[in-house]
Amino acid sequence: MAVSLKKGQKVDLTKTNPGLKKVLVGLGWDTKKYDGGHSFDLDSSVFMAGENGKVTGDGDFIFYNNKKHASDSVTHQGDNLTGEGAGDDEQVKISLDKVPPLVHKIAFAVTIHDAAERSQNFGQVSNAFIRIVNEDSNQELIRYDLGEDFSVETAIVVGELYRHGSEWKFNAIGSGFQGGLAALCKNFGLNVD
Amino acid sequence: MKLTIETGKRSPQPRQYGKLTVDVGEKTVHTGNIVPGSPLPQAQAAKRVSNQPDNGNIPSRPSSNLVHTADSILMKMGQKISLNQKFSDLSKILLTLEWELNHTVNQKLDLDISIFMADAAKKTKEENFIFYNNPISRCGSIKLKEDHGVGVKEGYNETVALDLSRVPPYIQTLAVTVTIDQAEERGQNFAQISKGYLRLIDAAAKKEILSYPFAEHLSAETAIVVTEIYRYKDEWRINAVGSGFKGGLAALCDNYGIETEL
Repeated sequence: MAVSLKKGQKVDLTKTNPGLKKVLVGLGWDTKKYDGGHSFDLDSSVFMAGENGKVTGDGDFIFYNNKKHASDSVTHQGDNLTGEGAGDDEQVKISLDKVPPLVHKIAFAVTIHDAAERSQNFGQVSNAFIRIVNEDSNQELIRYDLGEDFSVETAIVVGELYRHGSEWKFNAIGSGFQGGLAALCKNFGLNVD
Repeated sequence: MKLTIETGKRSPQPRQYGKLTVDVGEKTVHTGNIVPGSPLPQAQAAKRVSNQPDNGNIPSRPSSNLVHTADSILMKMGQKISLNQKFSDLSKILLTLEWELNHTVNQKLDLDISIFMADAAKKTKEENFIFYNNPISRCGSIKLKEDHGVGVKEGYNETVALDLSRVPPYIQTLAVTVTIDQAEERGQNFAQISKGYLRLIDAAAKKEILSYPFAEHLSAETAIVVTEIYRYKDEWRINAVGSGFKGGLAALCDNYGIETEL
């Protein structure tokens, strides 16, 4: 039975699941079915940050154009353009034992593609969630349903895995930005044009 | 219960959306209180004035002399607001609509409000579809073209009186939608509407709580969801939607789970 988290809640991951090495992070959402406007395209991305909360380089930003980290520890499974159907819309695979020691936080974000041009925001997205699954046993360990936490934001940091001593923990962050992916990149110390 | 939506005069064939018959015969004028040929009531007269092409003047807010608007929140598309956080005992409210037509529109253009009272499974029983031929909900929580008797309905194109405390517990969402009457026949859509405002008014205090310019992002739609008022835990919230469908009322019925037979 997965632990269901609320915004801001932190839980232990590896301490309660000893020997856990490979996790699958699933992100999902539903967009309403209006046919009058633009379609929705939501993207997930991953920031691998150091102790100061910043990435060391572009390579630590894992997204649809950079699907795999050099260390082989984080792999983005690809872009889903519609967000249709139940279950995960996008997935990220993580090998915890391969994460470089300098990486202290692995943050998961969801952004709306072309949000400003299409006048879209998370107030039009429902049933968004993040879940952490033990890839070997396929057991769901942690789940955070974002529910009512967002409205006018166009980019959100859903949650992060972070080191705590020799263990990994998960923080259901749920903080939003109005500037899309660019605002997020700045937050994690990346320069974008 | 059999509901009949009558929209327009062109075709004698009723259109069947499952059990819901959209009879394309002569439109019965709303509640039936208005007899065709009788003098226009005040609300209709006000509507005519607002249908005049905009001649460049700053539009007067029709509500300004009727209700207090000083603390009104201007909502953005997608925004969600708790109605009970600021106003814990809020129950009797008014929803109002006003709009103007773009310069290019010479024809008559009529907007109709309908409200879908949907349950947690996003289904709406036919009796809970409140529209011009079914203008008062059985529970008495929704009355189209009413204003709780506070005398402000003449100031707006459309008003709806809502009493949140009378909404049955199994109803999760009140979806407030607007359709253009005879949109297809007249070749009209929401691109022809500007300065469309939804307002939410505390009826007892005659105080505008929020307004939402719903028409800014619209174009080819003929049926839109202006807002959803919904339960979240122990409170009522409002979400500024302003998105819609090209398929008119039928598409809205699909979206809110009015059962249709294929």
